[in-house]
Amino acid sequence: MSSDSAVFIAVVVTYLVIVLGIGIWGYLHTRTEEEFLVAGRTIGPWVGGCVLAATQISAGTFVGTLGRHYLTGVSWIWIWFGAWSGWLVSALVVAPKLRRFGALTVADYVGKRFASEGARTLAAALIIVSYTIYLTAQFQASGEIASAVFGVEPLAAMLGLIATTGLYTLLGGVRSSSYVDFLQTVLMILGLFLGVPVLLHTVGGVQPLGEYLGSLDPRITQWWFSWRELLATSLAFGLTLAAAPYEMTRYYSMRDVQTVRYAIGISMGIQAVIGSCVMILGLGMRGVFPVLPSPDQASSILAATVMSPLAGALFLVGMMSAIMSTVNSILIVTAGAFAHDLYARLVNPHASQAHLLLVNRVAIVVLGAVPVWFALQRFGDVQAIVVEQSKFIASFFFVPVVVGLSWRRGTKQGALAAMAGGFLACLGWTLTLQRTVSEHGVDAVEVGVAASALLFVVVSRLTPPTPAANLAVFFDGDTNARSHDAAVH
Amino acid sequence: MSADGFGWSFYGFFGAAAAWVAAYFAWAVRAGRGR
Repeated sequence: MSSDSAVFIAVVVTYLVIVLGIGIWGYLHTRTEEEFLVAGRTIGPWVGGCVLAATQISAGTFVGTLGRHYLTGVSWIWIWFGAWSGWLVSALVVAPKLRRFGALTVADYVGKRFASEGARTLAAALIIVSYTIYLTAQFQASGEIASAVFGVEPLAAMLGLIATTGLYTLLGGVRSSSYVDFLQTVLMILGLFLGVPVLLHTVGGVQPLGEYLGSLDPRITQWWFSWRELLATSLAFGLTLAAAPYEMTRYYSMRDVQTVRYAIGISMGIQAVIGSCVMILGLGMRGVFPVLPSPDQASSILAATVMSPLAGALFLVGMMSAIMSTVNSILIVTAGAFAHDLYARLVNPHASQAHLLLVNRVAIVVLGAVPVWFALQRFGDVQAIVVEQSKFIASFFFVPVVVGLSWRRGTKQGALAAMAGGFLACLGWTLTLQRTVSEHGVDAVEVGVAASALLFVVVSRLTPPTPAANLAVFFDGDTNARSHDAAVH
Repeated sequence: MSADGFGWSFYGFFGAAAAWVAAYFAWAVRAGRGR
């Protein structure tokens, strides 16, 4: 064994021991489904901000986004404003009402808001299907990184990922996951902070790097993408993040509405730091290695050849953290959808808390294992899978969540039509006219969300309103909260 | 374009991101006080 691999193994083992220790601590503090799925609603703004950032930052950021900057230069950075626009919509419309509602799962919201068990079941099923596809991308990325850097079989890396992430997730649920997310965010930032000065030193600083990249192609340092291209991709990210179930379910775990607002702001600040570092690393790698076989290899090669063994090991642990934190959040939301929204409603309504905890934990193992098989089939590249599944989630979920929380008149029939119609419209466009998107400029997510919105409004207008008792917590909450504050003060 | 080859697509992002986050927190504090 070389000293480099010994350093890496020591860093990884230390990291995994700490993560599993936090998992065991969470296990000892988890007795009910509420503690497992929402951490007893005790998460504060700093840990909450790291949770939201760690969930969003994934293999796609460290591998795909860094590779995109390597290939196309600076201008891709402006896509972050699309993501933050989605967060802004969430902070204004979605997060306060969901946290005030204080349920356990996202499908809980659908069932209550639209007074419909059918809509709840459809939402839970669509969440499980689409996030299983998303998990496939994360497993595939872990396999590719492990085989590129260490020559390890992809299957071994995937099984290692599910064994470690699945274990700390099923042990302590959201409580331990949140503190692990905090640690993982710190490690991601640390890994990037170690990489930036090393790479800038290697290329001689910002000015020589800019001059060299500009000489390769002026678009690398200026604008590679047109404003229309940036806007279209930003829209897809924004629509997805405004109502992303794996982020929304974490709002429930925070102390109160104001904690959620601060956590979203802290999360955006963390994303700005991480996004800036990822851009600089992508540009720097282009300066050091102008021609790589694949842009996706830039981050792995950075860790393996440019950085010192210890810094490279910490950078790789940061990459592992990005993947694990996203897998962890997906497992929580899919297992919760299965155990809480499908099993406890349709199969065993009288299940005890201990039994539901067991079902949640078994669901984490099963729903984590299924995507490993899909990942081994390699249906597409990592970035493509991430982008496609996010379009589907936005197409079936954006309207029932964002419009559903803003418009009282939305009904259960409207929600069912919006979810099914948005999903099918996105699927239909993806299979047909998406191939010629460069000619007409209309993306599948825009078609899916437009169809979903149209169906929601038209069908809701034609069907009876939702009972006022179901709407009160979402639409009369502001008044109630102000009355409560006035009474307290 | 600046002397080092990078334009405002590069430097402008840092300023815009800082302004975005600062404006967000200004709103969040006001929202917490009930405006």
